[in-house]
Amino acid sequence: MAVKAARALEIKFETLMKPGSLIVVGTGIQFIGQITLEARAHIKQAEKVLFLVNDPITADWIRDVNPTAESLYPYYQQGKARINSYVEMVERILCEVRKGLRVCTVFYGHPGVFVYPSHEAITQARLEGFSAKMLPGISSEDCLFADLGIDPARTGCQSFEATDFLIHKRKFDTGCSLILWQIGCIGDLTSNVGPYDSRGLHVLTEYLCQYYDAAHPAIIYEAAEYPIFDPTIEHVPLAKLAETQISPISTLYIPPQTTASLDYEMLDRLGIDSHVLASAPQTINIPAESKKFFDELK
Amino acid sequence: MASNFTHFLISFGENPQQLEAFKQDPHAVLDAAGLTPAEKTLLLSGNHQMIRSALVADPGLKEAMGISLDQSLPANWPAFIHIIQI
Repeated sequence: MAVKAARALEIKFETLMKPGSLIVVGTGIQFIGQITLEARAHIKQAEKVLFLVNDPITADWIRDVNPTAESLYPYYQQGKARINSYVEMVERILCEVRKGLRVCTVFYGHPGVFVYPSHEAITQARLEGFSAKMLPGISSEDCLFADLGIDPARTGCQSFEATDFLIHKRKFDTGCSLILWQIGCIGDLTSNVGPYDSRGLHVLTEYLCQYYDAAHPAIIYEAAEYPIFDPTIEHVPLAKLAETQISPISTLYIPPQTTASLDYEMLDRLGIDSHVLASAPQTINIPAESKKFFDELK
Repeated sequence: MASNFTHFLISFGENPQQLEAFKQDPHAVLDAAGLTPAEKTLLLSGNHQMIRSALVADPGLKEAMGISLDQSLPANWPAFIHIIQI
């Protein structure tokens, strides 16, 4: 009965929605192999596809699956502020939705992770009375957990965009894993495509060394775009970070430096026996390969 | 370059056994795929930036990306986006 009533409400809601809808999907990081069956079906069945991906094979594949596909790449321009490009992309997406079409927008990676126009387009579409939904995709962070063998549940995991981390002086815990994204373009808010200025990386290194030992292990990571290649996993002592060759899409992973202490009052409140915890193996999120690398340095 | 080379790259995402075979004996898999010597050299280089540059140099693939022929494309571009809350 309740299910029938809910369905009736859903149907009523659907009839109130304007024609035209938006579904936002992701292609994953590695081309083709990481696209979900659900995302592929939406790309195929959409009346209009708009996409923003960073490799030509995926672009070609999307156009093959749905000939209406149109790239949003032309909105990027050398020297143009990224936010202006994104605003124009959102408007282009909404323009097709307003025509009453079933629109599918495709982004690289997870469409909701570090993607401004996807969230904005959904918000705007809903405000205008259209149905709009995002489907999850495989993000760089998902690839990082798999490639480095990190389980974020073990010690907790903090994740920040590198510029955002610095300019807001984000609070963080050296007893948890720390992931910093886009360390190759710290402080760059434009779409410049020239060589990246490493000044930001020096600033980041100095800042982190106030909290971590200079020799603390860090990993520079880049997910593999092509299945035939391995991901980039470079082990480096934290203080040497700025001397390392990085790319604009490099990510920094810093394992915990300390083991978190227990709050005995909280254990009592939760009814957890501290002896059980004391006998559990202590774990720290240092990947085995990284540990080996730094052990050999000693 | 586009068709045979790109189909070959795409096939790895759909065929893990072929990927394993490539890692064991890349020359045998490349020979069986009928790639040109230039394409084989490119893949054996292990340099994904070079592969990407070669793909983008293909007018058809450049057009698929939505980039005009007279516009240059960087070898790599941050796909992520700064979300700065002021």
